[in-house]
Amino acid sequence: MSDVFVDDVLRKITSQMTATTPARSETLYDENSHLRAPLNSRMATKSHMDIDQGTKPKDAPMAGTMSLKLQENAIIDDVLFTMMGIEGTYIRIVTPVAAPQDLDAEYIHKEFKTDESLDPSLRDLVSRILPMASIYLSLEAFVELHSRFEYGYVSHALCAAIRNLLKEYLILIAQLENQFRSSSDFTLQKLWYYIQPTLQTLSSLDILVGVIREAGKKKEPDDEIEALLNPKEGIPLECKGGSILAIIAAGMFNMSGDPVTKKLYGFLLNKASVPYITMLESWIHKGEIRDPYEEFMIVKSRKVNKENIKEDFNDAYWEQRYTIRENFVPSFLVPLKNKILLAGKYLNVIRECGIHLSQADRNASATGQPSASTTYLERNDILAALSGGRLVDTIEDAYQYANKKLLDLLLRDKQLLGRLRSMKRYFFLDQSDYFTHFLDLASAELKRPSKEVSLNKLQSLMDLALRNPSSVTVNDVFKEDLKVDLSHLSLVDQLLRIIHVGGLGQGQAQAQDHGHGHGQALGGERVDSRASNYKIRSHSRAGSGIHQQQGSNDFWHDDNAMDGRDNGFKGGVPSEGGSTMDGIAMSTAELPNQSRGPLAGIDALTLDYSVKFPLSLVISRKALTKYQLLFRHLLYLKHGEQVLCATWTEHAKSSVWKNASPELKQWRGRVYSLRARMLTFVQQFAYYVCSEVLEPNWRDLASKLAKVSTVDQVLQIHSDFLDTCLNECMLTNSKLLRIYSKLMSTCIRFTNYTDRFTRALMAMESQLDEETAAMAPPNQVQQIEQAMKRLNEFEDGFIYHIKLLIEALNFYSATETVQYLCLVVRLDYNQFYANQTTSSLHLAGNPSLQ
Amino acid sequence: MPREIITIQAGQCGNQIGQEFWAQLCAEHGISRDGTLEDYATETGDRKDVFFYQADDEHYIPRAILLDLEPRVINTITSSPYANLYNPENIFLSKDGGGAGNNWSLGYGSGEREAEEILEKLDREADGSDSLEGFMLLHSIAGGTGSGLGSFLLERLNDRYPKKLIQTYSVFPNNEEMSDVVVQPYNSMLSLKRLTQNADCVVVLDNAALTRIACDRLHIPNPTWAQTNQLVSTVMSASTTTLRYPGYMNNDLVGMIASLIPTPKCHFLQTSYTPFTSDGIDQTKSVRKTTVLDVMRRLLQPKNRMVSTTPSKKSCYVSILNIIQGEADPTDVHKSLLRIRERRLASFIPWGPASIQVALTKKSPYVQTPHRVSGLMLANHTSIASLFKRTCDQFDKLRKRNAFLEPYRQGSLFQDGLEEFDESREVVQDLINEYEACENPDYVNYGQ
Repeated sequence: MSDVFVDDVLRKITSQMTATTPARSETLYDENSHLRAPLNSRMATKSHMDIDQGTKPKDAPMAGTMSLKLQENAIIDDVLFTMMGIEGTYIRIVTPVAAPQDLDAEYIHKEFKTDESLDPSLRDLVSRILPMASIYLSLEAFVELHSRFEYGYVSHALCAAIRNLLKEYLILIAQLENQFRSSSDFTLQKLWYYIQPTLQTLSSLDILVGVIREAGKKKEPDDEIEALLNPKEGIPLECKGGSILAIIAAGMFNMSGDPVTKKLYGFLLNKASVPYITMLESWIHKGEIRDPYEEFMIVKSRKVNKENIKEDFNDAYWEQRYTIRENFVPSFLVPLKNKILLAGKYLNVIRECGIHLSQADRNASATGQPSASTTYLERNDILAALSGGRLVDTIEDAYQYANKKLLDLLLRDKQLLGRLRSMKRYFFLDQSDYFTHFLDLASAELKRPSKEVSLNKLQSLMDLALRNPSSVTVNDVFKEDLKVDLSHLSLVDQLLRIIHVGGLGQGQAQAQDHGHGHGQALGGERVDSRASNYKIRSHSRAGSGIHQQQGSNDFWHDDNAMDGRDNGFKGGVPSEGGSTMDGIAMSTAELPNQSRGPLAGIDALTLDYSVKFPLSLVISRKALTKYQLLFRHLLYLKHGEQVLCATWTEHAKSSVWKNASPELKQWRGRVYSLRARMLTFVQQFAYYVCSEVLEPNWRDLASKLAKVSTVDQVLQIHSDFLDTCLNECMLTNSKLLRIYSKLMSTCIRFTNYTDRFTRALMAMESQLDEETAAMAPPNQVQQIEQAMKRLNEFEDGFIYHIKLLIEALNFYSATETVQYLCLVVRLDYNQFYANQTTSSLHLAGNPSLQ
Repeated sequence: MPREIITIQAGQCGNQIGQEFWAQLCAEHGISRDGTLEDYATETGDRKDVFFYQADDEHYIPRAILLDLEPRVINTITSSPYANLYNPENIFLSKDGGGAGNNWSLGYGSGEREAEEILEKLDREADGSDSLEGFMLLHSIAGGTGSGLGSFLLERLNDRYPKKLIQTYSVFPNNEEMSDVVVQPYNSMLSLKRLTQNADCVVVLDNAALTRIACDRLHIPNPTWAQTNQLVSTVMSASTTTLRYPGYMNNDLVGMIASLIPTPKCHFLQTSYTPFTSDGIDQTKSVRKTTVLDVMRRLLQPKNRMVSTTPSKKSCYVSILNIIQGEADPTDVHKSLLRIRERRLASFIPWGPASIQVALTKKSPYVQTPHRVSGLMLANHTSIASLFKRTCDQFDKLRKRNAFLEPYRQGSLFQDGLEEFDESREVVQDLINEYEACENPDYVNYGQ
């Protein structure tokens, strides 16, 4: 039926009615119209209003013309209708002048206009009743709008509750009307009296609704670009889900002085929270999020899944897969939010492992848990409104259960400790026989440049070493998970890059905050653009020093740099003329892109370990990278020790060295003593790393893990353990690291020269004898001189750097870790370096190290 | 497969020590007397194949070669409960069975005669190992077989396996009292030359000190050979624990030796061990509290040292390696190191960095000891020179009178004269000088 038609009919009817009798009675109604739409007569239409703006229907008599009694009857009738949101004869709706664009704006707090001619006392009373009508209209509009599907379950539940209240309100009106019709002495005053409690209820409701509306409106991005980037989609989070609950709870809290309102809000909260609590329970009991309308406090990121944990550096799975919508947590759940998040998160992990959670053992675990509700006493009345106060206990139980379950899963079923122990064996070489064996087997392969090393061959050699029936590793059930890998960077380069990327982000503060910075840095390592960006800068900064740098950078691999690269050493050793300050400046100015020569297999060698899903939460890629760094550190030391021992064997066993002529003893003694110093350094360093860093920290870790009570603690303890180890192994300080790498490369270079020293010794031997000297090849003298010079360089370089290292360790022990002092004690136990005259080098105070 | 070590035991003393050593190793690894694994030996974490290999029937067989020129000791072994442990092919007995008669020259001579057979055994054993690390020779330097045959072997081993380490456990005679073997100084001197020139590492054990320790520390008035040999076997097993129970460090012999011996010539090591608990003799001692510091401190005390030396004021440590067995807390090590430095319990060489290396190892789970922690110290100390000096003095006394030289002339080395004696004397004097020079700050420039 079209509007025009309805209007026509209506106008006809009303005009008829008003014409026949001024006072209304049911009998006068047109039967048909009554049946069809009993209230149609009261409908105000737009067209109608446009015509008669501000006036009553044409044929209705002016109220003032009637007697007071009639006036009252007419107005009561009108008021009853108006209270249901329908215009009356004498009470008309005033349309707001400016129509806002909001959906429900036209319903908000309509103004009513009462016939001017009405008796003033009645008018006054009516004007007091009328807000009720506008409140009703506003509530109705709210309910209508917010019951739409996109507002979510909580809104629906709230609307349902409000609708219930409105229904009661309508019943009240029906009762009043009945009173009005049946008793003659029903006055407007009585009506006013009867609706008092309801008025209060409704106005409280209205305030609440208002707040919710406001919350929904506020979200206007300040920035136009932002607005373009994030077009408003759907319903703002502020007016749905947890936020609604929060608003109600806040209202309840604020109104706690008003028992009636408080009760009302309690009722609403109770009703509205039902879907939310269902969601919450499904989350804390099953680890599932059933949240189609994005109402819940926890959000799941679709980008993060367990498959990419292995490549991920930043623990994203654990940190980012499920996150709390910080601003949309119902305030009463805030103190519990972490437990809620964790409970679900834990269960989720268990579910991801394909383990079925049975209800039976849940109940078993739930009983006997002490209630923690006392902690939240001040919010008890709010929580009481939610599922009868059991909520806190439920959450607590669920959390305890999930925590215990996951902890059991990790520690017992997945043998976390066993895993860590096996990682310790492989990465920290705590029973390094397998590794010595492996190095023996693979020594030929590892001498080649890393690009030519066959990974398959290494892997099969590693398997051979691991599966050797006499090796202690043979009984390790996890040995299958160990893989050999080759890194494209040398250890020091990698570390310097990591430190540097960390440093870029953090500036000077980095020194104080290494553990943390390191974590970031590991993540940042992947950001190649940043790294390469830095490289470019570093080049320009190095400026004129590039030539020198090239020389000093080549410490690592110069098996082929037999002759001709004399400046190869100068970068590290202060030349006679140059001051030591230059040396320091040079070593500190040196930049991460160190070794340009091909990386030898031994320097690229690293291990990898495959970790399956739930354990990869603890042993994540980031943790594994730290393990690898520690491993390569140890490997470097072991390798240094091994080659120095090989040199020792040469010195001890070959007849050239053994039977040197007395004239050459002094030279020989110097070579011996330098080798001994180097070996002492390498071994003491290795001892320090093993028995003063790794082992005590490991024991600490093991004892902490034995007492651990939550999974997050496990993660925390483990990552702290790795950070401490890295820090105490001085892998996190670029200055120390550079000095250390200088020392190590000096040692390794020295061992590479063993053969040449042997040949030089033979040459000297033949020079002693005049006969052979005459027959000797012409370059022999030169060869000897070369060797002499080289030895001097090695001696100076080593002494210089080890003193620098000891000083630096003393200095950094104040800021980094006191553990460095242990290393100092070890490196210079008999105070040899300390007692040496320092006249040859002036370490001009520690600030120069900065 | 690991770095194997072949043990050669020569002569009466060598075989007796060896016997105890293998008994000790078997006990520690849970290997029964006939080489099978005991049922309780289920714990892992040890490497048996450094010293043993497995026969086809899974029996563990020591990588040992038993050499003697007279059958008495070997016969004792082959009739002992351990008879089936050894590979019978590895036992060499001289055909005439006459022994060396405490004559170095005879021992050396029979070595030359039987070289082929002995070396064949060595080669076979060496071929049976994948990456042979070296040889361990057990002998005494006073008698005939151990010193003479041992010396011969040292020379030959160096030629044949120029890159393999040669470590010896050499029992020095008790030269504080007159021995029943009058030519002992000659034998010692001739052996010392080979030990200096052909061995890479000599662990010096001194009968005088062993007897003293047995008396003082274990309260046995007149210790038997078996008892002193047990001390030696304890030291030997302790010094090889890092090889047999792999830990972070020191899993190969060369790593241990290289740090102990900075200059190859000064390769004579002293040992200390504490606390001693051997079968039958430990019951008398009350159990003491043992901490890492206690152990490390006691190891530095001369009375626990298994060599009797007379240190001078300038004597000092060239290097120290402590092997601590048992449940030691790694953090204690640092404290102990600091304490020892504070109290100046040990003085070190002035010409280079030196330190106490501390290796922590597991204890065998099968051998119960009343001590939580026990320790062995391997030390390179310059006072060892005083031991050589004493030997030299005794040698000089005999040599001056040209006493008892006749039996030696029969040996091939002495056919053309007795220069060998004087040469040996010179080598040992060089060694003494080297050790003394070692005490000076300018040792690095020694020799100019």
